[in-house]
Amino acid sequence: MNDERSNSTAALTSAVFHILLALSEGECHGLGIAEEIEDLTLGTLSLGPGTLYRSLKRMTADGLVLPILPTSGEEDPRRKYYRLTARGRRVLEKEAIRFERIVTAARRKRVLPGSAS
Amino acid sequence: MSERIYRVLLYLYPREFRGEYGAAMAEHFRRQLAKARARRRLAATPRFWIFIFFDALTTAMLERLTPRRASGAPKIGYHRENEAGLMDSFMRDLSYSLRRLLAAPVFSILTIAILAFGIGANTAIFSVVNAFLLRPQPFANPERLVDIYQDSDDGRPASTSFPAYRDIATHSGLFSGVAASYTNVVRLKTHDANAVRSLVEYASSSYLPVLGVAPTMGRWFRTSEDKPGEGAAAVVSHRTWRSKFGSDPDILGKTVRLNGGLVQIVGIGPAGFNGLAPGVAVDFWLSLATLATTGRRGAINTLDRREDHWFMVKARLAPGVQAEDAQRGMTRLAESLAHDFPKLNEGRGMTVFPSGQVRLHPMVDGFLFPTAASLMTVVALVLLVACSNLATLLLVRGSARGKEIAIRLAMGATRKRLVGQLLMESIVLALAGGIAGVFLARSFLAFVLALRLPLPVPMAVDLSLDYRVVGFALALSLLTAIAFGLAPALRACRADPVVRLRDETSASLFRGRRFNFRNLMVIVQVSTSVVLLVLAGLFVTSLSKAQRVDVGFAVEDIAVLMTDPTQVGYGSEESKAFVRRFVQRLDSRPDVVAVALSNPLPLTQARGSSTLVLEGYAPAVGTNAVEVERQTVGVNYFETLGIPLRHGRVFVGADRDGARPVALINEAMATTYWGTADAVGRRFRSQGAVDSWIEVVGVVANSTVRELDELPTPLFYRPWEQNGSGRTFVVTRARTSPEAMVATLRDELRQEDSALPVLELKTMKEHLGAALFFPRMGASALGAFAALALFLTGLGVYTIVAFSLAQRTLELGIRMALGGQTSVLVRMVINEVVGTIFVGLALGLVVALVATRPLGSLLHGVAPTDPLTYILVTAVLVLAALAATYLPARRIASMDPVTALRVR
Repeated sequence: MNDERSNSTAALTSAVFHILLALSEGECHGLGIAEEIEDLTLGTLSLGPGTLYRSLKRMTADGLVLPILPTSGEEDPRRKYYRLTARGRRVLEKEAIRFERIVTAARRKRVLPGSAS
Repeated sequence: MSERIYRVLLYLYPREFRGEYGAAMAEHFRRQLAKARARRRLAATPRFWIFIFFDALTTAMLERLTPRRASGAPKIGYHRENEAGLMDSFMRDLSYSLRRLLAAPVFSILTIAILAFGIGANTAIFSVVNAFLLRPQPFANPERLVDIYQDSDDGRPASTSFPAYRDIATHSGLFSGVAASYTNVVRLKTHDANAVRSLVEYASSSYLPVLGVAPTMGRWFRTSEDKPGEGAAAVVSHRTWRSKFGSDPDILGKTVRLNGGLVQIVGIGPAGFNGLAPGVAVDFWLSLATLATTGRRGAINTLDRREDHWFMVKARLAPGVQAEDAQRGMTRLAESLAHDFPKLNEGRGMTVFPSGQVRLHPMVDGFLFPTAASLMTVVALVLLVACSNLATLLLVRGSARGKEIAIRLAMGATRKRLVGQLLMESIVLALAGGIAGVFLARSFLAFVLALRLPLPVPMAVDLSLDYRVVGFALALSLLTAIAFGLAPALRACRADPVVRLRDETSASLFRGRRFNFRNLMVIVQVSTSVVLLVLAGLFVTSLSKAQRVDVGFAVEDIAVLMTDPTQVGYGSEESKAFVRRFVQRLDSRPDVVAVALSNPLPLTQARGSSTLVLEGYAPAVGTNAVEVERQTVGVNYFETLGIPLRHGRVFVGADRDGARPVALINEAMATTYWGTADAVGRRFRSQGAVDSWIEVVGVVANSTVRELDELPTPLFYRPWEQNGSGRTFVVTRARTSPEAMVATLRDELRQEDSALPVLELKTMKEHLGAALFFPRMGASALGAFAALALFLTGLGVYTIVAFSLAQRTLELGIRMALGGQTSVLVRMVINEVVGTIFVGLALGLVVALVATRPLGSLLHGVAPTDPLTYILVTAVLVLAALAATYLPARRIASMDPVTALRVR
């Protein structure tokens, strides 16, 4: 049932999507995720501590991310790292594809510049 | 500090969440705060705080609403409810709340009114505190300014003599500038020949340059105007220019008459700058040269007198110099002054304070802050009652809407949306209440300031809404919204919808634990009201005791006028002759019973005393020189004011200039120094006048000298004919009303010489009232606050009883229909409420006993533990609570069973 819902076309909240996106290139701790998101969005999205950690908690419970121990040479061993689960990656891909479709549609309707083929 | 605030915020989250993520969140917060501060953006830090509060409040609330038992299928809560954006749902919540509030106007208006009073009281007090303590002065680089004080005789930082100021100003290298100023009250003559009290600062030419501000128009004083004999220049304050001169664009070059001296206005002061003392506003700055024409006779000599300490000194540190260096330099200067002028300056230190550490004066600040804090505490208590009251109202309303909420939950609405909506309602209410409160506070303060305050200087609390006041009111509104809105909102949404839908009569919110939320709110309201009532009771008792104090002189039928012929050019003898003529003129009127002269009036705080050497007085320790209060009176004084003569005689016409110097003394002086009530024939002299002994010819009864609750104070009287000077109070006993006599006095003085200023004009009752002004203000304010708290508490109890009974209407109806006793149920509800009220009452009484203990010195003739006050407060509160319980109970008990059954 869960898979069914997560595979559906329901939109993810922007916080969840961006956290997934930030983790797509490898594991990271909470603060790193927040900074990666700010970089990705050129500073337009800034997650407050409450939003970030509450999302991480829920995503952990839903099996989208996995808290892990740091692998190597970490400066602060108390920091909790997160990495994407296979399920998390699937949800992210689905969402990205959905976005792509929206962007394509927007181009076709000349909302955005670009090929309108 | 910031991080500490955030750590407090973290307590909003459930414990497990805090334990797991708290440290990481704090670190995250630190990093973001640093970034926000580094950002060059308008109000970056406040924006960041709003962001953080919003983040913490919403996520903490959601986290708490998440069902604990996370077994079974995990919900994917981060899927959006729909495609609508955050702003959209915000707007929908807002319009939904507005519609709901408009649908229940009585509830909304009541709530807004309660909040307006609570927030208004806080904003009013905060505006005053802000004007006195918080609002910064518009100086350039204020951190480089220091205040320099010479010690008073008892070794505390006080004020500085002008020669010492000159020494400081010429002290090498420490300061880039030094300024001196001396504050005084003068009479500004208006076009209708009345005298208006005006506050002036005599200021050196260096004053504005040191502060780093410039006049709005015209110029500031020149160095040449620091010396007597130069042109009499004045700078009018921006505020006075606007209010009293109607922003006259041609004001420069005009002259005004201050204390009889003409001064020319050469400039308009900086906008927003009202002189050095916060809370009062200077009308004019006067050049030092004008001391000769606008000061008291001989005032100009103070510029050369090291024994006068009239001036406040402010200096700007030279580049590279620190306050500590300045202090070392001033200590050296003080030592060299002690060496050069040992008689005057031996052991007299000099203290340097960074100006940022001083609000009014180092010796006054220590009293100012506790006063401000206790005022803020009292109004905060009122707000606490208001908040807990609204929490009960909303809780009840939320429960009444329980079914609606349950249905919406069952239909799939998220708790987040529901809590958001309920919270939005309280925020809308609180903001409306806050806005109303700000207006209430402003009109209240405007009203208080419009009263003729019996203060030595005109008060000028700048009420302009600066961002501090607005921010305070806004923060208070949001805080109250959360304080009274969050708990009811969470509770309304937490209940299991299935249970709620099934069990309509459930009062499950309120059942179970003895100290549930509802009871807690009642306890908070009752106990806080008790504390406020006790406070008000004590101050009202104290006031009424003070009003009934026997002042020892006649008050009824007495009217007084004060004038000073020397202010309009009369010489000393001419002045006396004028006053004699005026007294004769009044004496011949049929409506005047008696006329007498005095300076000052009895019951006057600011008065003169003399250092006397008393013949035959030998104290066990110390010298035989003593400081005794002094008063100059005319022949009829004691008869006119009904002060009985105990021994000897009163003054007669023969006690004039050239005759043997005589005095009357009061019993306190006789017994204190000579150990006998009959001190006729004893002699004393001024310490400075070795050969001029003054003989005591009579002893009169004690009367109040300085203040109402003083101990009998030694006082000697000298005949006006031997000792009189310019300033003179003419005291009349009227045959008709003293109010009519007041007008008569003014007219008669005009007719004798229309040029003479009427410096004071009042009935003796008003004079007494002025002495009671602060006690009266305090008692009225506390009384009003306590009454408000009592009313709110009554309302709270009423709401809860009515609600508890309404919840059981069905049960009652069935019982009634079956012919049973309803009284059992009603009694049950009442019993529970009454029990809670008594817990609150007991708690309040204990807190009041502890909290009022330090107030003993402020109370007159009543102990902080006054049993009568406590009994009365208990009685008033119990009566109010019983009434609030009885009214809804009676309505229910008298209900027709059919109606009761149909309710559901």
